[in-house]
Amino acid sequence: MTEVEYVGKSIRRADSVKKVTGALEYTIDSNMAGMLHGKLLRSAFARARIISIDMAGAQQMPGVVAVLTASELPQPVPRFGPVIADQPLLASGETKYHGEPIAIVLANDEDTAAAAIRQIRVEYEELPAVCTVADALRPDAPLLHPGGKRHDGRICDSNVCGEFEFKWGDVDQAKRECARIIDDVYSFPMIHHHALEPLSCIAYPMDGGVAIKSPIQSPFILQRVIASCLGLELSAVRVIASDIGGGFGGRGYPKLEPLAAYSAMRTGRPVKISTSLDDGFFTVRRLAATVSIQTGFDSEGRIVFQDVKADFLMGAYADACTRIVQKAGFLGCGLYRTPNARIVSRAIYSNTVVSTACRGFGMPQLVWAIESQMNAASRLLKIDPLEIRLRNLPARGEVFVPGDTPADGDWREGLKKAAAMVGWGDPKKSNVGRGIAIGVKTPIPASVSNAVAKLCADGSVTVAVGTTEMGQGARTVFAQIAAEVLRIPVEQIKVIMGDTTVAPFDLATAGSRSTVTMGTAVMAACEDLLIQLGAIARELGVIDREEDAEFANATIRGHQGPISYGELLKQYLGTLQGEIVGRGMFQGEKDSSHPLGGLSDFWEVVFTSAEVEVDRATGKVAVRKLVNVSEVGLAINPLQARAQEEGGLIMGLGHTLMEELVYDESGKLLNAGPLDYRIPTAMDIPTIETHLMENRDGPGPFGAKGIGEGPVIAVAPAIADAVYDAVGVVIKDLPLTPERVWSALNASGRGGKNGN
Amino acid sequence: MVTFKYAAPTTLEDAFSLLSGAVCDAAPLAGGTDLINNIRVGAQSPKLVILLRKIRELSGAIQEKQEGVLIGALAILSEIAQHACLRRNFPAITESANLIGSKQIRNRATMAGNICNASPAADTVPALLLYDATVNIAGSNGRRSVPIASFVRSPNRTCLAAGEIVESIFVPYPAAPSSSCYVRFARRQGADLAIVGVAAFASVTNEIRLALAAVGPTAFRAYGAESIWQQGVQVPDIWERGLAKVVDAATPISDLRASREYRLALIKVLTAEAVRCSLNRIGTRGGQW
Amino acid sequence: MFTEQNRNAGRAMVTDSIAITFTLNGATTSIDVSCTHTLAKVLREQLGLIGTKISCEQGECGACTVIVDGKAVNSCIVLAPEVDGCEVLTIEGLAQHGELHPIQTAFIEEGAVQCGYCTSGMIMSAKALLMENSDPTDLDIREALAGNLCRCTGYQRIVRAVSSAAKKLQTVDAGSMKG
Repeated sequence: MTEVEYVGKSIRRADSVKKVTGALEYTIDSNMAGMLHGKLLRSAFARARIISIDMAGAQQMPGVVAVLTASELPQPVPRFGPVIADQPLLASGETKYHGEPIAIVLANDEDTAAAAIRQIRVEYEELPAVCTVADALRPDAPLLHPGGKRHDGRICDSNVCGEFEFKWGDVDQAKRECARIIDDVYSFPMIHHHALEPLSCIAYPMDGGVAIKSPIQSPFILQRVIASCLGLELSAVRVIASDIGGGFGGRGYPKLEPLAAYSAMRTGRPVKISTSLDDGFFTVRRLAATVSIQTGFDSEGRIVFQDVKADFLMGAYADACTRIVQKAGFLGCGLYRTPNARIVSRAIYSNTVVSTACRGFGMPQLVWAIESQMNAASRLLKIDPLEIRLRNLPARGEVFVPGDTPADGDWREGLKKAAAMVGWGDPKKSNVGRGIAIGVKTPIPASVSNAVAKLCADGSVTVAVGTTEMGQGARTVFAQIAAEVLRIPVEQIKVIMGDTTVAPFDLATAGSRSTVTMGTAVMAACEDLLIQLGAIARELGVIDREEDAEFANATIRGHQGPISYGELLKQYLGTLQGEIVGRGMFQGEKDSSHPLGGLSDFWEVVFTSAEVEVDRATGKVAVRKLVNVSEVGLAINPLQARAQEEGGLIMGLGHTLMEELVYDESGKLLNAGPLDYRIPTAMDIPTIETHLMENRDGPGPFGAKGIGEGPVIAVAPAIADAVYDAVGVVIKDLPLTPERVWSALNASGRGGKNGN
Repeated sequence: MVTFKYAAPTTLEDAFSLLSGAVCDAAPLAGGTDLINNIRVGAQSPKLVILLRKIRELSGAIQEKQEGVLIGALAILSEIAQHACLRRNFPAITESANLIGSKQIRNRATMAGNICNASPAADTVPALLLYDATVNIAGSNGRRSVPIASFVRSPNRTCLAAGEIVESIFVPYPAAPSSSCYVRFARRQGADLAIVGVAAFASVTNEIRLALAAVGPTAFRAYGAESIWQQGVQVPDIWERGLAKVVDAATPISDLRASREYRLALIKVLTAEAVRCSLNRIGTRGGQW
Repeated sequence: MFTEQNRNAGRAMVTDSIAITFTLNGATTSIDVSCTHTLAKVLREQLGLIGTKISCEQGECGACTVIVDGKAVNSCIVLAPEVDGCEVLTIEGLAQHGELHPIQTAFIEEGAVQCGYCTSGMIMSAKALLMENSDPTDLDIREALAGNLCRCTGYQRIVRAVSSAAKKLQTVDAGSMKG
């Protein structure tokens, strides 16, 4: 293979100029002629019967075109959801979470719509709500969806929406024989994605169907859900995904789009629903979790068994939660050799905001427990936390989750590298400590990505993909791959993203999959173009045999020297008379015997280490250094890959030290909004160091794996163990706010002054 | 946005007539960092918003006078924080101003607005209390001056009568060479609200002053502790007794941001830090307590 | 005290909408604005300058940062009429004659841009900082950016970009670039 020109280089982002000049148009910046503005009235209570809604004041305002509540919708009220279609367009009869949309005002301008919302009077009868796992599972707990369908098709007779069990070996036998068992409970809080772009969408009627412009991560999922909800054919629903101002999984599944689509079709006009940052808190969050875990170790610190019960607290509607809980449960033993395992993971409804995919897809919650157990074992057995992990890590090629892909990396090397980078073992001052942890995740098994590449008459290229750009850099990565394969300058490749009418089917932009899956599809589409070019060249007599085709510098080498692609097409098709189209596909291998439907394409693995200093008097944890080593196979764009690592680490820092959605007993969300839900600022960050391990051992183009989620997964246990190392307290609940650390210090008698 | 009307008077007289005019419910607008958002969420619903910035009698200037510094009603926090004379003579004031919000907020928000909003956590109030600052008020009935301690009455309530506005804040120079310090604890390093804020003052005549924010309905001076510490703040027993008085005087609540117990613990830590810092600044070694 | 004439003068000033004149990205701009509209709304919707982004609408996130009379402010909590007589600089005013400002270039080169939603506000905060302080320390930069939230980048590259831009601007002739 000739020298690589684009892949593996830190090519500047294709969209960077637009972003630094403010020229990029996000959905919220867009408008259409004749557009109606939609504003939502949200429920004031978590669970309440809607007794009456007085809309007269709103309806009579000049400029208000329609006010809709559940009563004005077709009956039964249309519902949507990517797995279980349980979420109504507007709350019907009873609200199920604080902030659930009850009504929408459609008006000619935004000010009028907002003013009209204030005119609507709702009479509620407040009902008891359940907001914790314990409350939701009480025998007398009010049911979120009585008579509704569970994930397995059974009827809901409790608040358990889905329950999954994975096991191998013989856990009960192993327990009987094991002398060293660590038995504990860990909790992971409710977290909000806190993307900066407020959620908005524009829907407009189109040819007996509807088109939707939205910052949706997965346009084909949105297409399917809207078609199903509104009774339309797929071909009658067009989704155009804009560039997303922060996804993190929170933009993966439909939220306000079905209502906008319905409103557009009903009124015959474009409808834009726009919201602000606060609304996001009433729209999506991450699953919370309580994990009860028993881990047995031998005298050398090797894991003998894992018995894991992971209860994930969902919100009021299913969204993608059963999928998250199932997938994460499957990896409930983390990255370690585990001879005997039993994992039961449950998804439990509550009267809180809908939870959905969030960076890591359930793994941060489980890894918090798994890695905390390793830290506990390290303390109990007096084995260094680095050493105990090394003893349990599988070697390359080893199967550690039965039935799934063997270990595909040099994981011990990665762990040692993360340790070295944080100065593991170096002398340290008092109140300073270090910790290390391992994060793991897998992409979507048996998934599909298709791509189309068009070589235009002048030799320029467009690549159409269903993948969306949310800052992760997919647009640039695909351009690099195409440029590399086609031997064309990367500036001449235009990547068109997220339009279901233009791009062929892609499952989703999620799961750290796109470089591998869509990258492979793009490669194949470009290779298809080269094959066609070769055939054309042979037919024109430019070359003798297609096998002899040589491509370089956007030319094919013929008998009389190099001919540009454009010139070749002109000769073959006639002057400016056409283009050639290449198709490519990635199809992940299906395996019906596998609980998730297929093996993991690769393991997304990170090694995170931290150094902290703890102020004993206040409990404040100052993270001095945060390190991440990522197993990436090959970074198509190293700059972008490192940027993803850094961002993921700080997002993880947020849930480790300061983030938590707080609900009161009645189900009211107390800290919706940036005032009281604090995320890290530029003043809160430690020194960040990252390292990419590139062994070219991934299944993706040029040996690539995926990246994006890993760095958020292991931050919490790394920092928590660093806190223990610093001041000797063990904390099992997140976030490690100063007050929580201070309480632990006082409880253990380690509080007070910092000096010696 | 709720509907309101707007006026940009150029004289105080015009402003007063607007404030006391028939329709009102009027809100004066200085920096707007509290007002505009309050209107958006419905916490305030004025019928009229009156811009103060064009009123010729009002000023954003920070004037060094013979007896002290006169801070105009329109002086913004970022300029207060960077003002050389204020930094030299009243560090607690500039430090507290510099901790409010973000740079963007400090570039609009005024100190006058901060004290008028009268949040229990308002950072500038304890520093002003240390120096017995005076609030100069103007209204249609004339002018009056009120000590800062009497100005803030209760959460979000001041002694301003209808139609009155703050014209300036005067901070007198202390009698003897002195320094001060403001420390606070918040949930994160970046822009945040105080969980506990402590302002301390130390003079070469062994006077210690202390004021706290966010641990009572309003900020307050810990006079009880101050008089105990007059006997020798660096004597461990005297220090402890004074500190106990500070804790006694505080009435922190438990809320979303922190529990009462934690706030009480923080009071001790921050008080020690603030007093030590002030003593260091006037050249006295911090001591072993 | 107050005469009837004064009272009338007071009432005459009360208005729903107002004509304002201000300098916008160097050009004198005269428009009528609704008094209840924020500067952010007027910039975006009346003047079509969508580079200033809105997010929290309460002065907490900094996405809407613009520069008014040389100071970075949250345009979502500035009422439009307040900028009468002021000098306003938005992201659209940074690039000159099609050439990116060094801060913009630095953001690109350091990889400080991901989803881009916070980027306009970040760059304007950085610009305001460098107008005041041409040789900022790391801490100076972080303080200046503390009111600009980002969820994608982890801030490190942004801080580095501002530092790099500061150095670049220091070496540029003061006459050719206003900095």
